[in-house]
Amino acid sequence: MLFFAGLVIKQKAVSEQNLATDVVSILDSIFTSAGVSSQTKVFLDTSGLSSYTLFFNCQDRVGELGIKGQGQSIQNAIDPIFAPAEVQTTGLILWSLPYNFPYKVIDFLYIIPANAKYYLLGADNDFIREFTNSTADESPRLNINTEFISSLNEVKATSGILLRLVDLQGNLIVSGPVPTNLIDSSATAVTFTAGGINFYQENKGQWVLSNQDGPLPLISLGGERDAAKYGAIFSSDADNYWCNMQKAFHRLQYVTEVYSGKEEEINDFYTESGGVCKVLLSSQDNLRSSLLTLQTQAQSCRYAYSCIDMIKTATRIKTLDNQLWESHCIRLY
Amino acid sequence: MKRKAQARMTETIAVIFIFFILILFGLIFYARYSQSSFVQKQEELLAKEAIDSTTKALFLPELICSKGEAEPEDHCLDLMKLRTANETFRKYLTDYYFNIFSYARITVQEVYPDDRSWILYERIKTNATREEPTYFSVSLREETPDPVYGFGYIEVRVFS
Repeated sequence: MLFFAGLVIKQKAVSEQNLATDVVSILDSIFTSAGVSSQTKVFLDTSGLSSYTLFFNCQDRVGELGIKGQGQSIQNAIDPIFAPAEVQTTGLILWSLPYNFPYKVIDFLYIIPANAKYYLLGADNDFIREFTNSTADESPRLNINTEFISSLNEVKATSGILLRLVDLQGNLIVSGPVPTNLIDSSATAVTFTAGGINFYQENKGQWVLSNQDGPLPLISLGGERDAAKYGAIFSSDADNYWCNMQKAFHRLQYVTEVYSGKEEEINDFYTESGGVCKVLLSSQDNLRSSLLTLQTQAQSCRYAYSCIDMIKTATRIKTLDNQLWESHCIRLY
Repeated sequence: MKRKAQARMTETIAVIFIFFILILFGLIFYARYSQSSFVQKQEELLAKEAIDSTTKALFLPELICSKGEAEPEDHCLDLMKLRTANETFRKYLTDYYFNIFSYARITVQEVYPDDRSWILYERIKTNATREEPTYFSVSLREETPDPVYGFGYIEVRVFS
């Protein structure tokens, strides 16, 4: 009898572990599909998993997704997934945006728990308007909970709600002590300054900086729906953010190589016909040299300070591509 | 008395024998069930991998038809990029693209206006026992100042 009871208990434990591994595998599949469906928002009902904690980790360009203490996790070295470090929720909003630098490099997937709230502070009205509009949705389940506030005292810390403070001015959150309403709230904060992005975590009434090596640069060309900026808002901390950005830079290297090949074909096309297109393609500081520079820069971009130069090169490629388009030539992207 | 004890002993041995026979049946049944569910699981995984790989291939930034800052054209492959991409995929197969497609072969077949094909990615498992092909129709854009569109399909064949 004891033998059978032991067998049943052991089998139950094995089945639970297998089930958790299956669930993680299914989640990974859903995330893959959601990730490639650019500019879409999907709601994933996880009420069956609400008693479990999902974790998202990323180190050395390798992401990890799993259920805490259950089954096996899944690693992913390709897709950038910006998410809180740990999530216990009844639903997830999966949102995908393309990372264009200047051409499309990869899709970023943002995982937003249904019980997360994002508070925006600062005077960047254009971004606040854009962010509020893009996160709002007609369907209540796809509506990301955001609110613009003028002071930290307006934050309502509620148990079970993940709080994220977004300081677009850079000095509004950490300039003073943690307000009493936020003490022991485990709130996280991200601040955007001219010098870069900083990530903080509230811990026993103190703001603890997560990026000890200095602010992280925002590697993007700006504009609306800036995938890199949104990534910082939805990332748990500096390590998670930079690790996922590294995945994008890794891909940039290969995508740029493909565009270099395309540039050669465009050049060959205009070799005989000549004209303004040929002049544009063979000018000094031309498309070919810029693509080569970007590829080299993406290859060597491992640490924040070595990546900033890519912005200038990507901007140059964008300008040259626009010139090709204005002159009715075959454009690069 | 002695005979009675012998009879009881025989009875006990018979019960134990039947008990072990039942356990043996149970083990055989469980082993067969495990084997069939393992095969079924493998088939499910292969089908999942085929769908994942096809989805990824259709939206690869290395292949899609871009339109400047606008959204790329759906289910359209840029032939200029495609001709370079197969070389890039081959060059970085082990470093990078194997993590996306694993053991698979991705072929693009042009149906109209010409009949050409390109093997974009190929990593075949030597001792593969199963393969699952998936097909998806795509338009093929040849870049000229006024782009010319062809028609074809992409075949993603995964191995396990």
